[in-house]
Amino acid sequence: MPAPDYSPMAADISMDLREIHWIMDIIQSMDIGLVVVDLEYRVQAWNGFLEAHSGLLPTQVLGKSLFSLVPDFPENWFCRKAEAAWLLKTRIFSTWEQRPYLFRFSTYRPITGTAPYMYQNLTFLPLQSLTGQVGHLGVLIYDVTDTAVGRSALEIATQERVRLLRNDPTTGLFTRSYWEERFQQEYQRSKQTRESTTLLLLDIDGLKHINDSYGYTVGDEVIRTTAILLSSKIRIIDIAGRHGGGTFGIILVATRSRDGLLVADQLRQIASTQIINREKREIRYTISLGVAELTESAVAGEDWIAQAEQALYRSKRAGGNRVHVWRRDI
Amino acid sequence: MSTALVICDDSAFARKQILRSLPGDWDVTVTQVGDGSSALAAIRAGNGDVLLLDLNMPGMDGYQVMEVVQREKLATLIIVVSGDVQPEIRRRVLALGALELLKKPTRSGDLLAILTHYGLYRSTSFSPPKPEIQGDVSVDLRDVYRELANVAQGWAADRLARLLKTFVSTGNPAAITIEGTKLQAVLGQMAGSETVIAVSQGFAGGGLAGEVLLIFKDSSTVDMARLLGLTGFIDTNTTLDVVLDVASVLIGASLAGIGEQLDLSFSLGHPIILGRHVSMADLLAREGGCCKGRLLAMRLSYTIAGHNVNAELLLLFTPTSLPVLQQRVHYASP
Repeated sequence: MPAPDYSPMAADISMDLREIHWIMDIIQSMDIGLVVVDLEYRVQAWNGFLEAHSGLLPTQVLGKSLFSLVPDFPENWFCRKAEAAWLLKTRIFSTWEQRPYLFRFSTYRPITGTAPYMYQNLTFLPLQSLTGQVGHLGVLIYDVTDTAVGRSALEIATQERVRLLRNDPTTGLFTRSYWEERFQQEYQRSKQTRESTTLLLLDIDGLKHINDSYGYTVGDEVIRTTAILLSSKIRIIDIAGRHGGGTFGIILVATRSRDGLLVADQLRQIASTQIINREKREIRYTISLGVAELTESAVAGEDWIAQAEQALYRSKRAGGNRVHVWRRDI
Repeated sequence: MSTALVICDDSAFARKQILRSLPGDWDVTVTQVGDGSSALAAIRAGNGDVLLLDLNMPGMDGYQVMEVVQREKLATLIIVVSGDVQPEIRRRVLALGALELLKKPTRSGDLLAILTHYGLYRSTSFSPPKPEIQGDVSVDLRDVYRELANVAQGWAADRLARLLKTFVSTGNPAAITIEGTKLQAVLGQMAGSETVIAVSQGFAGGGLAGEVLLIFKDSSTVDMARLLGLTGFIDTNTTLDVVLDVASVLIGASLAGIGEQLDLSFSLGHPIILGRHVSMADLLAREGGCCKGRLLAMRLSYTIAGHNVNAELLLLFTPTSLPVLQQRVHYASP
């Protein structure tokens, strides 16, 4: 006598028809999309959720290629996922963060809906036939619009908070604390890679005098003007931030002191031509700079800054509107 | 005449699984050993007509045992038993003279097929006394956890190797129980200061539940995309795509490996991307974590030689899962 077969397959086959009926009812009415395709990507099942959001009736889609149902279907991407699921006989997941949706369904809540379309999470289920072979693929489509919208709002808020911490409100350049953090990183990196890096310190000549004579709003305007010309003259890889009241620090990456001197002198020249108009008066100002390339003589980041400060001090001592490069003998 | 069989595996739990899968009417004398050199000693003493051999063992591993057997032309037939059966490992063990590579956990049907195929066993009506077992057969839980992790790691390596069509190296799997409140400190040491991308997926099944954390070094993602055959500029969305694909495979396969050993299957939640370009410390600061009591933590790791790919998988079982798990283990190795 053959042993009775208690495998789940045998149980499935003998499943009561009424039971199949209520299971089908759930699949049809659940608030999750379900589409089943065969190995040729022809639609074999299309549940109520998909019908409701796409407006396509099962009779319009069954037996048709999944790729022909909607324009701009991501065919290559979908096939890659499906084939991985089939090959490895494992579920493959996709989140709205990597691809916002598979089917573009418009948002359906005029009052509470804030997204232009439904964000979707997907699960690719390889489905085995009665003989244990992979013959179909089920795709579950979850509406995650609420999560996605919530998360995006949170991320924007976080980015804004980070930006506020990093950027100085007057100039848009890095704040002193963030610039110093970056300075230490650059110092370590340049030491390790032995790449030439040059530090500029820039100071507005007589800022105190400008503040005293014309008021702080003019002083702020001078600082802002200098920051703008500074940003426009350095490269995107260079790192500029405020170092103190009227002092800026600029790290010129992959730059020798000779080229740093050229940049510094160009900044000095342009600053001297800037005119700030205030109550029909034209206010002019100048800047001084100190230049120091990182060398063996600096054994800590602080040494390097001190060298640039010494060079800047020389420019100031000589009357301002000048540039000096640090040398060991100064 | 009775066949002399050596079962060599550092895990008593794994040896028990092998013992249970031996044909009931096989006239066999079993010697159990926990390391490679003891296996060689047993073979030299004439106790090893057949050797069922694990690969990853402390001290002398399975590969080294096969090298000695080959060099010294020892008379034994080797069947390798491993959680990781990726094509490259099959090629290596067959080249070292093994008859077959058998996937862990050992199933009686698979073993029977191999034994029959090589004429090592023929079904008889003769019913010998239960195999004579030498050596310690008690199973302690730490050993069980380690073996569960070992097989999980192997299964996931095998799947990943097939997805990326390359050889995937694995590290030493670790399994510890740890106070939930101390978890953050342990996690903080992982991945060092490099920035990571992390994926989390919850799971539940048969009264066990927990969370899997997959951590890639950021620098891994481009190489993984290349291995998947993607060319050109790898933008953020493609990176996420690649990470989620690899995560689906590693997490799905490792849990399937554990489920297979405990005779249950897990249902998985949807994966969540926890962070991109963040340090582990920042990531943990963001996620609260509120688990009190002792957790079971398994740490699995994967690298790909010649490519900058580095992934760590952390399987965490909740404190309430542990009594259920112990009961399951008891069923699986009575």
